[in-house]
Amino acid sequence: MKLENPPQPEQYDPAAEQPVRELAILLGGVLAITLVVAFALAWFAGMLAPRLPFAVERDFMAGRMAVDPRFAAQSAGLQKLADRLGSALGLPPDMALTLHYSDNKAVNAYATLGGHIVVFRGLIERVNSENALAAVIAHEIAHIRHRHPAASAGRGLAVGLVVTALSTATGSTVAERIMGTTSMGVLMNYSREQETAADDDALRAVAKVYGHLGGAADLFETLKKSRPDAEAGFEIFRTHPFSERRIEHVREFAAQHGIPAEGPLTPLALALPKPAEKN
Amino acid sequence: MDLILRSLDLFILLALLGVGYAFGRIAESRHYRSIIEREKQFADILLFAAKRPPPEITDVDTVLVSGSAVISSDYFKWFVAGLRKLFGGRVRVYETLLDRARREAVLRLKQQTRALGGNAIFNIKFESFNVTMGARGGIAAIEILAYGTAVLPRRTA
Repeated sequence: MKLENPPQPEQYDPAAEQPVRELAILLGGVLAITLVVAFALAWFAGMLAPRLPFAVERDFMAGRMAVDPRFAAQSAGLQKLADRLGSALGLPPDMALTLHYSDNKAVNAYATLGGHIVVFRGLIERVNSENALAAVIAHEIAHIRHRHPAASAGRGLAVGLVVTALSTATGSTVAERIMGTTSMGVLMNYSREQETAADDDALRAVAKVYGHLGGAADLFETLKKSRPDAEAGFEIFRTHPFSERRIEHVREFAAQHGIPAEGPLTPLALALPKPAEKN
Repeated sequence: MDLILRSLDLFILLALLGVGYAFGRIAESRHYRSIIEREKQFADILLFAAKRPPPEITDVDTVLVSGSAVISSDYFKWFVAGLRKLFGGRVRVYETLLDRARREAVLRLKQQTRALGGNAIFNIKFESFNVTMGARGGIAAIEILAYGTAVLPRRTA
């Protein structure tokens, strides 16, 4: 009996492996599936949610958001400006706006469900004219008119729930992370679309009330300076388009519609409360 | 620089993939070179799956020998395998990993046999253990244990 171990052929040739190509194909597959699912859900939810009557939003928010009595005067001042802009935008009568002043240093303003708009002290301190503040408020009113808060909430809920359930079910940490990030990107894409739509409406309202777009470009300059973190990185991971592009858009809009880009600015007549003592 | 800071998550991921790929690849080709080289050195020690030496081999001692090797995956392999399990198919990145672990374990088995003065191992068997480091889905390391019966010339009493 002959006992021997003849040499065996190599099963693997490390040089012939193409792991990067494999990664690209697998990653492409996961991305494609997530994009299709997230976009389909976002589209469907974003279409469905605004079909709820506005009263549903209003009732849902009733009692959840009340004007802070300490800042009633400031809120009333903002309300007056908003009502003028609202009628310029042709806001339906059932979409009542409620303006809130918030004594917070954030350079920001937001619109949420039920027609509530919050404007922060930080923003009011930095705008140089009523025109610029009007551009912000008109922008937020436009969000409400287009039912953006409802659409966003619907999309966030639908995409969040389904993608989370789906990605967890894969049992793969890697897939979970990729699917989560990708679906966030999809939501941000819709968010930027909303911002652009709201900018258009805001410019229309400002032009109607003041006869020119003066102050609007200043506003984006102010935002750019005060929030540099929102302007960096990749735009696909940002909720808002970069200010540079929004400033550009003001100019384009003025040229397109034959509206003067500049004009006399109305000074801001809104007395802010004394800054609170720092703890 | 700013771009890197603002998209930190993405860059950390890319960096980890890059590090995993580069170091994993260097380690793998170095390990394969070493395996092939040592397999030649130990080619005279024979391995058999048969349970017992053929009856004509007499006058020998037998002793249990074992060799084990633990090889870790790298971030890149872990990442690709994590995606692969969604679609199915050959997990090529792990095939080479297991091949290396098996061959390394056998080499250590042969080394032990040679140290004992033997030149053949019968009844060779393999066991494998999954050593998962960290939490669920963490980077995996694999242990392969090879053991068998080494045949040694009988020691004169």
